[in-house]
Amino acid sequence: MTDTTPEVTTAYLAQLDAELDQLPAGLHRDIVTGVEEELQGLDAGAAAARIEQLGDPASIAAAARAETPTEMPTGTPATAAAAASLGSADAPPPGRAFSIAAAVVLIAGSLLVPVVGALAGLLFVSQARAWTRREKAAAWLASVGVALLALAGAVLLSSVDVGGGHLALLVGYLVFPVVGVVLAVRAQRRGWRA
Amino acid sequence: MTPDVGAQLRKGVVEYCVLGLLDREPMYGWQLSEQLVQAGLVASIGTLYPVLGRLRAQGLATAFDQPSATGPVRKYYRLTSLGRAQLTAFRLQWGPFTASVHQLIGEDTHD
Repeated sequence: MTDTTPEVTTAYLAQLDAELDQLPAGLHRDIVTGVEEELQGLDAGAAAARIEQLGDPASIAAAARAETPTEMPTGTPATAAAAASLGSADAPPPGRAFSIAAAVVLIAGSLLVPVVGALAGLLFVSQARAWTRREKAAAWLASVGVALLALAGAVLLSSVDVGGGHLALLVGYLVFPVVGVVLAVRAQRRGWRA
Repeated sequence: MTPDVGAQLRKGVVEYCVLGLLDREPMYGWQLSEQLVQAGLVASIGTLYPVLGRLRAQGLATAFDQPSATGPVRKYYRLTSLGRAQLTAFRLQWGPFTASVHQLIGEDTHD
């Protein structure tokens, strides 16, 4: 790519590169190179139109992950050549049941057993395959961050003897099920594939 | 058709559809992706490249670089003789297979 590469192209490639982070290296490289070829030489307008067609990096990465359940496709020579593929295509997305259970544990667990249930739910979510690493990190940061802030707020409010401490605690309590619902909705929309 | 049924059907045939396209001429990733997305067989290049990876790993397709007259060097994919043989075998089975399925589930079978 040259110096005249439009900003929109550079940004898109960087985002794609980041989203594909967890994929096998060969596949990661193939996709980025393929997209790079496609955007090379296009001016900002044409690149933006092509990017629109390509789709957003997160869903490209999700589709690629859904297609690579266990092993790296390149570099594993013709083991399954004869069996090529009708049979192996029957499986549901890997870990779907576990991912659903993780969302349920986070939502119900945090409501029924404060703190412990919430942490258990977040740990489950971290192990599930329906969410990207970025989503998991965001879930931890958002929920634990808000809960700690709410706790600090509650302590502060009660120490200065103003009302509202209970309300702050309620926010800290409810942030976990809310995060759980958000994760469940996102996963449901894309068929529980990250 | 529920999404799951559609997804399973696509998974069963998408590799052979790629072989079928490559049998016409060598193609680069975006070219393949455009046609397959249009046909509803892949969601995006994210679905296509793992398929291409499997085809190469199985020795059914290979990649080569080719500079274009105006644009960049592109990675093209083409069939190997093994890939062509697989495609031929699939073609032979596909007609009878769909006919049998239609016989079993079709609502307008006349016999």
